Amino acid sequence: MNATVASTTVASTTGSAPDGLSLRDVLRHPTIMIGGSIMLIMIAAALLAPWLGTVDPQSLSGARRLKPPSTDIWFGGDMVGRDVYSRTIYGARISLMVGLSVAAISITIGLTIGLLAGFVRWVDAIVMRVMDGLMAIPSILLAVALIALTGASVANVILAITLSEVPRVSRLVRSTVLSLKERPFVEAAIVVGTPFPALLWRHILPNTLAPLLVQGSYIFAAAVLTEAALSFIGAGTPPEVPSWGNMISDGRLVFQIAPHLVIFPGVALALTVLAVNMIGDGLRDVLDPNFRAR
Amino acid sequence: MTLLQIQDLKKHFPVRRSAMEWLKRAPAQSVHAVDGISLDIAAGETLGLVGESGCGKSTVGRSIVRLEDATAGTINLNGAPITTLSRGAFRSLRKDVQFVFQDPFASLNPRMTVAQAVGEPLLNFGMTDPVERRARVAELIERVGLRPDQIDRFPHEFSGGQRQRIGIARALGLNPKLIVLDEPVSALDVSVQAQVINLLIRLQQEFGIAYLFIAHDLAVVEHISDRVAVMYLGKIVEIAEKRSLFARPRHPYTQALLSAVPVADTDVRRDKIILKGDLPSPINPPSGCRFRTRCPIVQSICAKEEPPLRPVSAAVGTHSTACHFAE
Repeated sequence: MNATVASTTVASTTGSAPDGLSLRDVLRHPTIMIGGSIMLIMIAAALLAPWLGTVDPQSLSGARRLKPPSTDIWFGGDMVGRDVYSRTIYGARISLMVGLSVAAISITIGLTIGLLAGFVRWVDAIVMRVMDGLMAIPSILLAVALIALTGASVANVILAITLSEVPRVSRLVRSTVLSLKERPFVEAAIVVGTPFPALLWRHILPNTLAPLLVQGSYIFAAAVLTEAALSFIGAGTPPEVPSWGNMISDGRLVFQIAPHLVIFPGVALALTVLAVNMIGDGLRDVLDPNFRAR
Repeated sequence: MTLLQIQDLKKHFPVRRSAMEWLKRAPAQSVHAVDGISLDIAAGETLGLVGESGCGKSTVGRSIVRLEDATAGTINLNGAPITTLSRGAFRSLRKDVQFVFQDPFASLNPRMTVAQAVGEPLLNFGMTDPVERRARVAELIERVGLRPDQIDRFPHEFSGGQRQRIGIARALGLNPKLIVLDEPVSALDVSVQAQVINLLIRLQQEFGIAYLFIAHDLAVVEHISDRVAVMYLGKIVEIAEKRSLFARPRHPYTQALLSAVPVADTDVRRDKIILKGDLPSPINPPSGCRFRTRCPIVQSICAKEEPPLRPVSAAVGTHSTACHFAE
C-alpha cells in the first residue's frame, strides 16, 4: 500500500497525463509494451521501406516467379514474379495509413457530432437518427457501395470506412456527455461560475477522451481489416498499389503450390491487428479507474 | 437583515407520457417536488432544512443556485431576483451563493488536482495570475484543516472527510454570503461528521456566512442550526427557533422525526412514534393535509382543508406549524 502511494505521488509530480497517471505508467503495462513494440516495428518498416533491402514492389522478374522463400528472395516471388518481401513491407504503408486516417478522422468528426448531440436537443433528435440509419447498414456493404460510386483509390477507401465508423464514435461521445452532464462535479463547476467553453474544456473533454482513445484503437484495427477485406474482394485499393488485402487475394489462386504468397501478408495483417488491439486493451485497463489493478 | 427570501417557490417536474398515453390524451402529469414554500434566511444565520428522501428539500437548495429553474415563485438574494435573471446575469451573483454537494467522491473532477479544483472559482472570477491563485488556494486549504503541501494531489488520494473539506474550500473561495449545504455530512462516518460540522461552525463565526443546511436527520441539524424548517412532500410543515422546535414540536410529523433520534441516555424511556406506510406520490399528493395518510391524530377535517402554516406559541423566537390541531 505504501509503495503504491509513493509511486502515484512520484507519478503525479513527474508525469504529464491527468489524474496522476504518467506516460511511464502507461508504457509499463505489459500488453501495451508488447503491442507497442510490434507497432513500432510496423511503423518503422512502413516509413523506412525503401532502405530495408526492398526492390520496386511493381518490378517483374521471370526468375522470381513462384519461387519459395530463400536466403536470396526472403519471402519468395509471386505468380508474375514480383518480390513478396518488398510488397509486404510497402503494404504496411497502406494498412497503417488507412488505419490511422480512419481512426483520426472518425474520432474528430464523431467527437464534434457527439458533443453537439449531447448538449443541443434538436441536433440530438435529428443527427442521431441519421446515425442510427447509417449503423443499420453493414460497414463492408456501405464501403463497397461507396467505392462503386466513386472509384477505387486509397482516399476513397479511407472515406468509405470512416463513414461507417463515425456513428459508433458519435454515439459513444454522446452517451458519455449525457452521463457526465449529470455528474456532481460538472454541476459543481457550474455553481462556481464556470463559463460553458471552459466547462467543456476542463471537465467534459478530459473525461471523454479516455474511452475515446480506447475506441480509437479498436477503430484502427477494424479499419485495417476492412481495408484488407475490401481489397480482397477487389473493391479496395487499386490493383497496382501493393496492399495486404489484394496480395492475399492474388495468392489465393495458387495457394496449393505457393502458400507463401498468402502467409506473409496474412501474418503481417494479423500481427498488426493484434498489436493495435493489445494497445487498446492495455489503454482501457490503464485509463479506466474501474479496471485499474491498484 | 434578510439575506435570502424565498416566496411561494414551486418546482414541478413534468412526467413523460408514453406514446399510448399521449394518443389517449391522458392529462400531462408532473411531480410536485416543491409545492409552494416560503423561507427567509438572515445574514450569518443557519437555517436547517429537514425532511425524508423525496420531500423536495434538495430541490429547494438546487433552485437557489439555479441548478433547477423554479416553476413558480421568487427567490431574492439581497434584493436581486435570482429566479428571473438571465443565466448570464445570474453568473455574477454566483459569487454570493455557493453550494456544497452531498457526495464528496462525485463532486470533485477525478482529473483535477486540489489546486485546480479549488482554484476554478477564483479563475472564473478574474484571478488569472497563477501565483496569486495558488497562494489563495493554499490559504483556503489551510482554513479547512488540510495541509497546504497537499494541493497538488488528486481527489483519489484523500478520504471522504478530506474531500468534503476540499469541497468546502472551493465554496469559500469567492467569499460567499450564503452557502447551501446539501446533506454535506450524510456520506461521512459519524466521527468525521462531527469534525466537519465543527469546521462549518468555525468558518461561519470567522466569515459571517449564512448557511442553508439540508439534512434528513434532526440530530445533525440540532448542533449547527439557529432555526429549523421541517419539510414534508414539498411543503413546510413546521418552522421554528431551534430550541422551541426541539423543546415542543407541534406537528405530528416533527414529533415522529424527533422520536426517531437516538438518545445516549438509556434511563430515558420515550414512546417512539412509528410512522406507517410510505411517502405518498408527489404526482398526486393527498387532498387537504398532505400528512393525513400517515398521521396518528388524523380527523375528517384533514382531508377537506389544507392547514395553513400559522404562528403558535413559542418558548423562544417564533414558531409556526401547519396542523389543524396544534395550539
